[in-house]
Amino acid sequence: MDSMPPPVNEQSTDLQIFLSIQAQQVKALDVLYDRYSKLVYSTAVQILNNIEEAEEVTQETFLRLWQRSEIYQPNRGSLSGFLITLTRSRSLDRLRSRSASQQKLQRIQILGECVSDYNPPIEFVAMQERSTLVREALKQLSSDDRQLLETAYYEGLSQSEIAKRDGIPLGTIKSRSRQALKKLRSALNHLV
Amino acid sequence: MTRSTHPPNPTDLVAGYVLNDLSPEESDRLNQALAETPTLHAEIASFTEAFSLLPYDVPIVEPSTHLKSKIFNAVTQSIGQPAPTRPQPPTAHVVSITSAPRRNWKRWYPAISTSIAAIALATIGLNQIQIRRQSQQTIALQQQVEATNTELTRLRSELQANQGTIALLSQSYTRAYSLIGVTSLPQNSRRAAARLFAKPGDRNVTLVAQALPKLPINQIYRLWAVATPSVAPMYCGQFRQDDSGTAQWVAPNAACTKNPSQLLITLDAPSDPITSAGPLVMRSSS
Repeated sequence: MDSMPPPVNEQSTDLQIFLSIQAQQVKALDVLYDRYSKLVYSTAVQILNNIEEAEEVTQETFLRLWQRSEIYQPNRGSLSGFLITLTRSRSLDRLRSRSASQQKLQRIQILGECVSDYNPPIEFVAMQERSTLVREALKQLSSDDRQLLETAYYEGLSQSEIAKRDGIPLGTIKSRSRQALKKLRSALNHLV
Repeated sequence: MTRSTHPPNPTDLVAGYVLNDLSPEESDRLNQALAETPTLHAEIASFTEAFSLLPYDVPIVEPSTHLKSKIFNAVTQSIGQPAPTRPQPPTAHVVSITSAPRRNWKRWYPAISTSIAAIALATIGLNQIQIRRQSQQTIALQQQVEATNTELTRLRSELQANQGTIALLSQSYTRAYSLIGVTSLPQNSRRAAARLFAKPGDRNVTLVAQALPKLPINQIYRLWAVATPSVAPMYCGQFRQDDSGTAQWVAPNAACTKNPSQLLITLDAPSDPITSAGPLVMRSSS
């Protein structure tokens, strides 16, 4: 017999909210929407630069989680990270479909389902504080490194496309991007 | 391709994986490293999480309340749909009671009682599920009503201020362009957003903006239309929005609204020449 999770409220953790969404509690989706819709929508706007498409992506993101909650595995990362990653992926797909020379992001498969429990502490940090910590972490990067990461994230350009566009050898771009991401991860180690 | 003299270490490969820039060779090497060191999977999760935090730095843009109501409308519809039908459990044990009249009934009393109890429990369970579904629908409808009411209140107040815009919008051939601020406002990290309405080839232009800063007397916004990327933007008039964020003006050239590939808004001084533009403030998607 299935037991219903307790009702959620604004103070509930992301995990509690997610479990209630799994149990198809509408209130949980409402709380989640109020918590993350601005972040999801702003991410889509940043990538797409288009209000209508950003609204569509936001709608798709929340409805996808509601209709197919099994796509998120709580032991593999934060719910906010999942929502943002889904938003980014859908936005970049739209961005690419705009250009004729569309190339689908083809992630090389890495061994599959081997992730052990990974529960980042980010869930226990308030939204406003997350923004502050991320901004502080980004300040530790040079503006070039930051630009590289942002180009990869929001424009969805491959490293070879960035290299070609900026006239920099591919090896240099790859190594600088990786170093930049390592620096960012290290600066955010108390969140991830 | 440029080759690095030292092969990348596993952490570099993890970063490369998250950035989606692994070569097939590097991918093989990472797979091998993961097989040897399973804790690297947690590294991948951690790097992925760090990369996904970047949007916490983007300027916040408020979604419209209409969006929430659209989402909850879809949720209500999904709840309202009948649950997928499942194959009925075999009812042989029930049939057997009627099809074997000569059997000793007393021998079957416990089984019959159990079956009746099971059916009763299943019925109660079904009722509970139905009640739960109905209450979910009620909550979803309440969310929708709340969101719709908020939207209605906002629209009513806008109705008063934007009669002209609404008249324009009611004409089916009016085109709407979305513009987004290129940078966030320093005071609240938000980006301005606007919609510009015009009939193709008509010089009358209406703009409705959100979070676009009001300007002092020595500054003004200017609209520019880009016909094709290879041609210089065309000056399309200047404006200051009123308290409701609305501005209406007449563009100097009908070509401004004749299917431009992009619209730009810059910040200028009223006395600046119109042969060059000031800093870019907003742009439409091209």
